[in-house]
Amino acid sequence: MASLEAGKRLADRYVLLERLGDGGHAEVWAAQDETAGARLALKFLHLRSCSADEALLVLRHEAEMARRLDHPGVLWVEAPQRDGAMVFLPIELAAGGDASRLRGAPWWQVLPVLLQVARVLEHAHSRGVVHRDIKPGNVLFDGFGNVRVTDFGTAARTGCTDAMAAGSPFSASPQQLLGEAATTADDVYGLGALAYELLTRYPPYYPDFNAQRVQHESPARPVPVQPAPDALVDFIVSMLARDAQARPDLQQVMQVFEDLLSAATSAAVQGAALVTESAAPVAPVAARRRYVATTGWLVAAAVLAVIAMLLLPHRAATPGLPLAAPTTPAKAVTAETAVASVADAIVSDAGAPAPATATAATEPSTETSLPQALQAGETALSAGQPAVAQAAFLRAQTIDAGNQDAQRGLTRAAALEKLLTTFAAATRTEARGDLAAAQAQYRDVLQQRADFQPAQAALARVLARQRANEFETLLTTGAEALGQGQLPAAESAYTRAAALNPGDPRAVDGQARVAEIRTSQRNAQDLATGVALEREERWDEAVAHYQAVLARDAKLFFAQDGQARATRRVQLDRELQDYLDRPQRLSAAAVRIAAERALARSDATTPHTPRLGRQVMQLKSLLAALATQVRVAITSDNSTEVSMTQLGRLGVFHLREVELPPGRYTVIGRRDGFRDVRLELDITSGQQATALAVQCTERI
Amino acid sequence: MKGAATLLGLILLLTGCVVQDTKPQQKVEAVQAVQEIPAAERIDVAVRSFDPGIPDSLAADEDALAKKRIYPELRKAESRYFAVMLRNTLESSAQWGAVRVAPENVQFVDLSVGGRIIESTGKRLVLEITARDAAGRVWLDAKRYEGEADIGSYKTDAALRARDPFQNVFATIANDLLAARGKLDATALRELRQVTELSFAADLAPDGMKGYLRQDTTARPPLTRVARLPAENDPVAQRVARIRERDTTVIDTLDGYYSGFSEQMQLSYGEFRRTSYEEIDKEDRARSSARLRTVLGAAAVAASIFAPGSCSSNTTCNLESAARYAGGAGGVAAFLSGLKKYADARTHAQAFGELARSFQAEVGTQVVEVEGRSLKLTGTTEEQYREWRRLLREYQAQEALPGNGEP
Repeated sequence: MASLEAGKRLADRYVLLERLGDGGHAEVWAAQDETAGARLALKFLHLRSCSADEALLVLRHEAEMARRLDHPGVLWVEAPQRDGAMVFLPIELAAGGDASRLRGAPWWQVLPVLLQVARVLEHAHSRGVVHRDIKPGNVLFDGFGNVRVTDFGTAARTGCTDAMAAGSPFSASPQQLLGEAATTADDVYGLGALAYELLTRYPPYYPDFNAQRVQHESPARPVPVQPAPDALVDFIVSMLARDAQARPDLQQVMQVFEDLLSAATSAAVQGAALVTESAAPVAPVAARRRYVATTGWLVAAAVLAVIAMLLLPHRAATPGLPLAAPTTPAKAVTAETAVASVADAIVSDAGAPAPATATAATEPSTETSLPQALQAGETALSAGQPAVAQAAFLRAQTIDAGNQDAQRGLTRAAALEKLLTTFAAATRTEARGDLAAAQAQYRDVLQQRADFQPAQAALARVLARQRANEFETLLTTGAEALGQGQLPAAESAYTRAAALNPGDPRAVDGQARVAEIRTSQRNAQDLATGVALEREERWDEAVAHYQAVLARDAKLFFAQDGQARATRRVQLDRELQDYLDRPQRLSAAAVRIAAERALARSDATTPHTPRLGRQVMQLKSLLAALATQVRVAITSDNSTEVSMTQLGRLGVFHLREVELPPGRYTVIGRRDGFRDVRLELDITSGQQATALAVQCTERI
Repeated sequence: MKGAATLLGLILLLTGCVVQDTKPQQKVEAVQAVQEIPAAERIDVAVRSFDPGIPDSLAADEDALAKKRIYPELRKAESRYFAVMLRNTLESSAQWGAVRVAPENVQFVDLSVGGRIIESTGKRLVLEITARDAAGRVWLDAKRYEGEADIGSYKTDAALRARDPFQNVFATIANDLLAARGKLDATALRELRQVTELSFAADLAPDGMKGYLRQDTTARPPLTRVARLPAENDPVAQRVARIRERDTTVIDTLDGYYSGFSEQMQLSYGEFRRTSYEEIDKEDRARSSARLRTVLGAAAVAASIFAPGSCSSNTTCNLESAARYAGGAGGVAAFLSGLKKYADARTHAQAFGELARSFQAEVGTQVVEVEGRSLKLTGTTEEQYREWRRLLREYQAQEALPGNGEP
């Protein structure tokens, strides 16, 4: 793979920020999508074993599988992109890390995660998709601790074997390893393997994995790092059965998980001893000691956290749980950021101090009297924990069945629950990118509670994103139209973009590019027109054309050159044509010299256009004819002053002989007291000598 | 008593000499041509608008001018009217070529006649006429012409239209001009025509038409003479001749404006002059009568000196009283009459002033075609002709290509 480094820009849109992980087959980077103005993850397949085209196919398959699903527990993906040799898949950024850090966690922390994964898989199966690579690295958490399953590169449609990539061997079912068609049982096996790894820190068959062994041996019974119910351990073993038929289906899995968690919750609510007593015998001694040392309020707090998680499976995890601790700041993921502030908002709404959250989460089981229960409920409400509040108010009702405060508390808890549920759904919708739906949902939240600041902020953010999206769409439209040479469409798009976001340099730049292209096109047209006029030797029109162009933009070199060139040609054309139209002028030596110079200029003029060529040829012919001279004898009366065109004054004489080149001459005789005489003399080429009498005879 | 009778007889005799009737005058006619004058000898005449003759010293004092019966606006109208009258008189004599009233800046014409109005009332006209030909001869040098109105012309409008009351003056001028022309022989007349033509050509095409005229400094005054004539086929001369035809057309058009103006004012001006004549005549009579009464008064005084005793008889006393009364009454009447006349004349003058201004305003735009080009002329007659000459020179300069004219 070509070098990936922070700051690198891809597809003119994505800027790499940091590497999130590097597996055997792929590398994942956090990136900034400059077009959408959001952070996301880019998954790059290593191209060591395949070409870019093959990688593109794999990623397309993954995107296709993921897009078949519509579940908040599935990370959304975009179409794979290609930038030169780089092939990558834009994926929603899950800011909470993956499930690896739950390895060795208590069963009551692991089980809710497994339950959420099971729900995702149930949804996938309902869409005919089998994930077939359920492992800690593919179970991610968003900024609020919600499970987000990813990597459908190994996924296949139910009954098919068309997976484009191989999954992790530890999580692959025996049937999968044999290359059999995908079944939902594969994912049950994978989920069991995940449970195995999270409870024991290691996957089945670790470290002596062998595909043959998988076919013939069952994995070792899991030994959780921390005490876990035997029922759970047994059930995990059943999920890993070699025979697919022997495995429970997902419904059973979810039911068992929920039952286990319910039982644990009930026990906690009733202040009963933990299930650890049954698990204690199988727990390592050191772990058990550590666990016993944490009894008391810490254990109670953990149990209450489980309750909260069950009641709010998609909302922010309760403090104290590892799920609620995102490792990456969620500021760039705006929806998540908004939800993260929900608790604070509720706290501030209620006017209660923030530390109350900790109090509510850590001391629910200590209240034994009615006031304590009611206080605990109020504190939980203030902390934005409707489930905890509900439990507290229910306890209050247990103590005093008709207690009105408890009843109102329950109503308020239910309203808060509904509000937060709607809000959470809206944030997920927003995270999916369905801004229109998210906007509607946020408005719904605000209808429930108009002063709910997080929803207000979220709605403002969604509207801004929609506007930003529209702006980006317009820029894209403009750019595409420019690329296709559709200037009106481009201009329209950029104009709308500029109106939407006045002063934005990209819109301004787009408008400038449109104007520049228009100018360029017009200049090209003007140049072509000028060239055509010159080619047709319409010099006057060419001069006028170039003058008009220069009036528009005096700096256009082609017009400056064209004007100078056409002007020279106009002058030359007129001069040559004048010699041809009035050839008698050529009788004068000065005119002949000027004509010779004009011919020299003509010879130096390129291109030698047809009209110019004809003029040159005709003028040369005329000048050649003028080279021969004819003798003319002029007689007079020695009183008349004789003058002649081209020769000037000849004086008074009886006889004067002159030699004249062919041409037309005017001879004038003047004498005081007489009327002038004016004679025309035509000398033709090759003519013999001739005579002429000039004298004034009409006395005045 | 015998002395008084003698004095009375003298008075009556004096009175009879002053108070007299104006009778139709003997008519002077312009001498008519009896045979056709060869075209080469027919002199074209340009009559200029006359100088209104308003003294510079009084030009700003309207009342002082009125006392002298000078109304500036009226004089301006008369300056054109008299020029047209003289033009008509010369033209009707058939002794001349084209006779036109032309602006002062129409330079190239055989004979140019100008004048100054010295006095102009309904009763009397005094003009000072100058005539000069193109060669430099002075035909009339500020010669004064004066005449009394012929009351026959005032009798009816038809009579007025038929003959101007001062036609004798114009006929006399015409006859003097004819007499001056008679001093030139046919050669001189032909040369005069040529001088005019060549002057026009030299002005229009100084390069192509130079050298054809010369100054005869031996003559008194020095005269412009023809040195040579251009060849018949001289293209410049031919072209100038064509242009001169258009020039003539322009001048004819301007002349038409003057004629129209004169026709427009003829009747009303005649009415004014008739009224003016009657008032002046009445005033003269009143003045004569007052003079008589003064004489009578003086005689009465004298008689009373020579008569024995004071008011020795009723007759003498009555006479003295009558003389005194008549003398006083005559002065007041004359004064009152003068006031009325002054007011009427001023009203008339203002009316003619408006007419004169409308003349300037009504000179329409004329378009002249010259060798395929249309030249548009606007403004007063003077302005139109000045513009015409400027356009002609400009046109000639553009057309004067190398090789044209002088070899």
